[in-house]
Amino acid sequence: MLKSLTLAILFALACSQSSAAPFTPKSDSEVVEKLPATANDPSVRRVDSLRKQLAARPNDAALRLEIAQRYFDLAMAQGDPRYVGYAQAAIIPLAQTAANNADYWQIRGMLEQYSHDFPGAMKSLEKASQLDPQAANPIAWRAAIDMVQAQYAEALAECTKLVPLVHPLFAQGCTAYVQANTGHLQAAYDALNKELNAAGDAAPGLVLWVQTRLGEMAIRLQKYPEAEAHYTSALKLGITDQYLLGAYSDFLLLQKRPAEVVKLLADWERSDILLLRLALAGKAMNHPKAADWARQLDDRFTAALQRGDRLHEQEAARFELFVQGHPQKALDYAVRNYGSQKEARDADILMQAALAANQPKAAQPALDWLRVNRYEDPALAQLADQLVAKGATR
Amino acid sequence: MKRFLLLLAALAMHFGAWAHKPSDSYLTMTANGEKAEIAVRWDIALRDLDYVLGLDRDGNGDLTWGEVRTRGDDIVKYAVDHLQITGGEKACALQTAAPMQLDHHSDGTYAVLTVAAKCPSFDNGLKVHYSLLFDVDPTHRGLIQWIAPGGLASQPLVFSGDSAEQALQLEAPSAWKTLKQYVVEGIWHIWLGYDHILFLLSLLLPAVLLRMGNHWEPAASLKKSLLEVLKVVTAFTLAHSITLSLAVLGFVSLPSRFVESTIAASIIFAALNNIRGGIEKKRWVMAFTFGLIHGFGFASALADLGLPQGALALALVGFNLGVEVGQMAIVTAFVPIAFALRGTVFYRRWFMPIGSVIIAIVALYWFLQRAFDFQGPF
Repeated sequence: MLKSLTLAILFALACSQSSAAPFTPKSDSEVVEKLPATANDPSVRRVDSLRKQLAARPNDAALRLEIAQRYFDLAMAQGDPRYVGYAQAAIIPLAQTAANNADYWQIRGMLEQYSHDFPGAMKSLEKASQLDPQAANPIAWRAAIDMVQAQYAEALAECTKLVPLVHPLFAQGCTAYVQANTGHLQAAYDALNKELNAAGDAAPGLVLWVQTRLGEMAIRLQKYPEAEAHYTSALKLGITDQYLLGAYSDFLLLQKRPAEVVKLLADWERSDILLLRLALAGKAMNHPKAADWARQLDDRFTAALQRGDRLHEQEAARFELFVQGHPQKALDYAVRNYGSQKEARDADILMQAALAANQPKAAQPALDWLRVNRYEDPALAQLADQLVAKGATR
Repeated sequence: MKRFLLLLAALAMHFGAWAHKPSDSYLTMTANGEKAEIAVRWDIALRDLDYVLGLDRDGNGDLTWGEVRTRGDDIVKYAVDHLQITGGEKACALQTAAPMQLDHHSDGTYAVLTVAAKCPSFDNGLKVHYSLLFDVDPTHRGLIQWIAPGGLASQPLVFSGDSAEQALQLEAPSAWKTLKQYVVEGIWHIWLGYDHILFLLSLLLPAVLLRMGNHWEPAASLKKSLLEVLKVVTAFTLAHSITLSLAVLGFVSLPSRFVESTIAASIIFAALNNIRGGIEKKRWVMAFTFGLIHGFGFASALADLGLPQGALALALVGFNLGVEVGQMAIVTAFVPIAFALRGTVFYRRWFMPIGSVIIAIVALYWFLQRAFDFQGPF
């Protein structure tokens, strides 16, 4: 019996592995790949031509910085990490020659934070500010890194430095984010809302960002109709923004409206973070594609694991816990993730995974974070109560 | 305006919303010890090749097979220039072994190069230096599956700019060693996973008895008892082997909370059946039905151990064998004692019913823990 079983297993294995076979296309005119950067995209064409100029002038530091900056913009717009790599490659030769160039250190810092090298990024951004104290960008990036790492006093100091340098709504957004995380949620929400109403001329991108943040604060204040209003007015601006789509999807999932998530994210399977929301919604409503979304995500997390990437651990933890039902794996991801990122979402998944895996003490850092900063969120407070009941300390 | 956009990007940085997979190339390198040769299959994304070689001649964004095929020699040369394999400090000669083909990966179409590396010898160690694309994209990675001479399982190696040169292990973990390792793990799992032992014991307790109306009588012969044991154990084994294999091979998956709770429930059911009766003749059906669920439990234990790529079948068979060995040990220890005691009042009136009640209570406690997240005092 065992022998026949072994044969059956081996046969199944052979079948499952035979699918990946190379092929030769039948004709030369067959299109085998669509390149993402078409000749019609002016920003891509521009950076291509700059790259050609670089071949003739390899020592031109300004040219290298412009190429890096443009690739970084492309990466931000399209969510394609290859462009971050191209930007890194463009500035590598400047390490020796551009030690006094503020732009070099700023771009280097932005690229370092991308690969989660936060200490390196902070050093580079400090250097940029030393060389050009009036530049707002390095300050804003430092504030952002401080926020991610829950260094709120430092973040607030950077926000204050931004006040004379940027649009008042931006500075207010920076400050409000910190205050909302440190025991002044209602005041931060009111102040930011007021500033938004006063700023009639603000750029749509800035308004979108502020509305998204207000939506998140409104959820924590349990003002659900207001949250809905913030998100929908942000969506009405007509700017594609993955973070907004993700945050609004989370809100819809919280409100048990998964069908709207599936509709909202119909064309977003290619984005890892939005595919996670699709998988969660699909599971909640037994959507026919739910299994397919889960499989795609599993493939992507496996591929990331293979190459040693650690950029999506928060999402991987949510996937393991809520889609796959593997509390232990989820907790492993969530614990590693919390080592580098300490935002509310990171704390949330750490606490949920610790509860599910029956290891309440694993969530202690998140509980400490809640207590020390007096972070206000009824959902997190409830998780904390459950953890304390199981033996964690508040 | 541009500065402003960057500022926004700053406060949005932790959104880290990368829609695409980063750049990777995939190599499978299979060693042939007798000929001192390495067969290399190398998959490189067409998008990456276009970036460095400009394959899209008409610049319309659509790469045709003609545009790729006519640059085949350039592609091979570019690739081979960025891969050095050395055997005992002497370079291995890389030669194209088959025409370039294509293959689909999750993130697009890849060129498939088939190359043979002829080395002077394998005697003084093998090294690989990989440098594809690092100069234009430091986030690129080379993912190599290395199959050592005589090896079944492949070893994964990741090449990056910081680890561009790595040695290849010439000693393959032998099939026997892999098998042995998983057999041991399987035995351990049965011995440490009390729930499987308790389920089996619940089914074996009455195997030496016969139910007569409301009470139990000792079984007439050892042969009948052993036949009963054999039926139960075989059904349980067959069932969990099926689901263990299906789960490990990825055909079926169940949420672990459901699996673990149902395993606890299966023990309660089996234990209560010993007291209240109901299923006497067809205990093997119960063993089979619940065995299916226990198989999923084994599968998650095996998944936690990590499965060797390429030797999945070996790991699966080994683990399963180990589980059977552990199980047989329990059966051989338990059945003779039970058979000897079967005629005593102690066994029929006390040991079996009270043992069953204790088992049911323990399993109920597990069930509450697993199904409702109940955290008791233990």
